[in-house]
Amino acid sequence: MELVVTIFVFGLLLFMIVMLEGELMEHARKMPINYMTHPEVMSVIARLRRDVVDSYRYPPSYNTYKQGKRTLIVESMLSTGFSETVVWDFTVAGESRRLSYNVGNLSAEWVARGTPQFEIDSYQMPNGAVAVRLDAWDDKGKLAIDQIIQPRAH
Amino acid sequence: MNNEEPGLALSTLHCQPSADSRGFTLLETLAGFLILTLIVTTSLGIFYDRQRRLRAANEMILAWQALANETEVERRLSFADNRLAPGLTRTFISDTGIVAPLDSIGTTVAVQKVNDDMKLVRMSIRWNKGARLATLTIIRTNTGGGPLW
Repeated sequence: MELVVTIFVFGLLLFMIVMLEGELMEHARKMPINYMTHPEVMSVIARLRRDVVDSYRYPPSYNTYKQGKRTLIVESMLSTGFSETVVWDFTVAGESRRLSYNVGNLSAEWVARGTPQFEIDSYQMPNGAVAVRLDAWDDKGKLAIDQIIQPRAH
Repeated sequence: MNNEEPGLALSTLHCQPSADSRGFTLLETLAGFLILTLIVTTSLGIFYDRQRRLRAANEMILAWQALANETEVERRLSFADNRLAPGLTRTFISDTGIVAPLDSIGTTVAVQKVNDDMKLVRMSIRWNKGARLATLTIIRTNTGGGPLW
C-alpha cells in the first residue's frame, strides 16, 4: 500500500514537471530570440531608431561604405550645428557596429556582440516617403526584429 | 550440551524490534509526502509563473513591434484617405510577419471621427484566442495636406 501511494505521488509530480517542461519547450521553439536575456538587441534598435529619426539624408556611400543590405548610412544634425554621418555596419555576423563621423573624422564607435543578423531594407510609405526597414533573424532563421523607421520632419 | 550456536542466538536477539526502531505508519508517510508535495508544487508554481511572465513579455515585444510599424504607416496616410474613413474597421496595412509566432492573431484598425479636423486611429492586436490584447491609439489631424509629418 505504502509503495503504491509513494509511486502515485511521485508519478503525479513527474507528470506535472513533464507537462510544464513540454509546454515551455513548445513555446520556446515557436518564439525567436529571448529579448529579455539579451539587452544589446534592444540597444541596437533604440540607437538605430534615434539615428534614422534624426536623419535628413541617406547618402549612397561614405568612405569605404556603401548603402546595402548590411550597411546603413544616414546623415543627421548635431546640437553643435555640425552634421554627423552615422554608419551602421552589420557585415560581421553577430556584430552590430555603429560608427559616427564628424567632419570626416571618426568621432565614436559602438559595438554590440552576440546580436542576431540584422538587415537593412527600404520601405515605401503611403505618402511616397522612404523609410528604413530593419529586420533581424535568429540563428534558426526566425524573424526576430521587424521595424519600420521613418525620419521625422525637421 | 547446548545445541544453539552462540552467534545465532546473538543474531536473533539483534533482530527483535525495539520501541524506538519501529517503521513509519501510513499516516506518517502520507503526512511526509503532503509536506514534500507542498514544497515541490510551490517551487514548480514559482518557476512556472516566472516562465509565464517571460513569455508574456516576449509576446508583448513582438506585438509592439507590429504596432510601431503600423503607426509609422498610419501616420503617413493622407487625412482624406479612404482607409481613414470614420467608422471604418479593417486590418493592418503593414506586414505582420513579426507576430507569426503568436497563436490566433487578429489585427484591427478602427477609425473614429472626433470632429471635422480630428480622427482617432485605434490599432489592436489580439492573440491567444483573444485573451491577450495590445492597443495603441494615435490622433490624426487635418493639416490641409501640409508636410507637418
